[in-house]
Amino acid sequence: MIDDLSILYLFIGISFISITSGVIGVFNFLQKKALVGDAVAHAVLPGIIIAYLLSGARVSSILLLGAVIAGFLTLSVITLLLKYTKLKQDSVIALVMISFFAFGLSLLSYVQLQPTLSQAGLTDFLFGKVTSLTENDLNLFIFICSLLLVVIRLFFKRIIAIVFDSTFMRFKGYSMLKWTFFLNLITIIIVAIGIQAVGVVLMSALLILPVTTAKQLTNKRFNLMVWAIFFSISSAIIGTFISLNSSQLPTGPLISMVLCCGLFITVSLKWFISKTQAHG
Amino acid sequence: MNCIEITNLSVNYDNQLALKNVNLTIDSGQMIAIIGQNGSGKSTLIKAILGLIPAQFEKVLFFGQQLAQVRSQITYIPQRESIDWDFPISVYEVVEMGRLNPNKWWKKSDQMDKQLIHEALEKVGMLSEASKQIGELSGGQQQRVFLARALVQNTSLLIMDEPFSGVDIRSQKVIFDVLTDLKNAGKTMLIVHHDLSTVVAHFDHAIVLKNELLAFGETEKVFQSTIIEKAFGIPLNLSKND
Repeated sequence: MIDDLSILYLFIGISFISITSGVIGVFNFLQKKALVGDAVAHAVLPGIIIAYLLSGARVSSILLLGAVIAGFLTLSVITLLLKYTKLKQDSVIALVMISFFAFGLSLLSYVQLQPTLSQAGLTDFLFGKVTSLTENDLNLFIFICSLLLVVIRLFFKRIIAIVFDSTFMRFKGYSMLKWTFFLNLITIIIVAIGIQAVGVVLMSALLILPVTTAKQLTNKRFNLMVWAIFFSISSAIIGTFISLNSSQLPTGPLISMVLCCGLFITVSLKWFISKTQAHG
Repeated sequence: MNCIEITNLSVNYDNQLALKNVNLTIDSGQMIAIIGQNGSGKSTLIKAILGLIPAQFEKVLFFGQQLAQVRSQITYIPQRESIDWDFPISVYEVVEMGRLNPNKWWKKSDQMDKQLIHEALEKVGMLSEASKQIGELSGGQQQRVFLARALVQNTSLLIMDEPFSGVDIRSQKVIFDVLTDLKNAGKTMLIVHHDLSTVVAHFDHAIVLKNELLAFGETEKVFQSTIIEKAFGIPLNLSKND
């Protein structure tokens, strides 16, 4: 049974994950790469399971490493296919996401059929289950998220400048290879962490929906960040709270549904206000 | 001193020759217009010499050196079509980009940066708009902000891709005034330009392209009817040209 102190700590951990994914989601949105996060999230599943099969234990840091490697493999395959085939970007993303995810699901089914392996509860990674997180997991996630946030703060101006006008920054001598790698890396890391709470199927909700909702309210970047963080953190907390009070329900779908409600309410309010203004 | 030296530059796009065998030597202190029809290789020429697209050449030198050695002495204004103008960034932040240095990734804006940004914004008449979002401005104002971003770099060579596209009369005047000041200060400017009617009045030299170098020299000499007719396929008639 989880005590009150661990629940508080769980909420702190969830808050860190959602703040970081809210911020990185804004970068992905500004780069018009919202779906890349979705592809990465689905495609890391085989990475996690292979990491588990190789190490023989469910250790967060090892599974995280497997996820990060699979994430890079996904983005490399996407980049190569875009470069050497005439396929369009959306087709390439769909193709890579589906093949990696299908491979992951096959591996997962195999693991579930083995009596010795099926106890690890790897199915939690599909839809997310915060209650399966240990204190060690949370320590690791809080540490990595803090590190990500500090690095992002340090490079913030440069990230924004590069996303806004990459031609100019390239001319100034900034290596686009390095910066694209950096932006991909932070997305992959937050996905690898986030899936443990939200699951691979709905991880992209935590990246895409907060910034999409925030965009309904403001065009200024600072406000966009603040609102995105607000929506991300509040839905993560509400979703987790409901999940804790109904032990059967996985966290991912709950958090996603709260995010969807937030988006629905914001869009409706905006529509309603524009209607009243038009008539008044 | 030679500001730019180009020997045997060619560029291919999808197996099509975009630029063939360009040879050019440009002296310092000139204000040069690059003219030609759409698709004649104007932007291609400047992107190629700045290493932004793949190109074949024997030699491309700036101030007698390779680009990498003199990057800080050159600034570049990209074509406005390449920019997402809805991007949430303020006027001040755009100009501040000019002061970022890839070799000093830890550096924050200091007093001197702030001073230069302030002066540049004032010079292009955009100081009062500094906190506005770039998307709230008119096309001409946006180009003035990009000019300010070039000014804060305080370089001896400015390369601009269509700085007058989508620009209203007032902004056009402000931009030409700033460019004239820069010319008087001895700077070299290489500008892709689409409006033939203003070339003679404002530019001392012109480069005429049609996927190869048709002519380069003093504007009046270059503006002979045969050259212009060859470049544009129409007789020279400045009053109607746009």
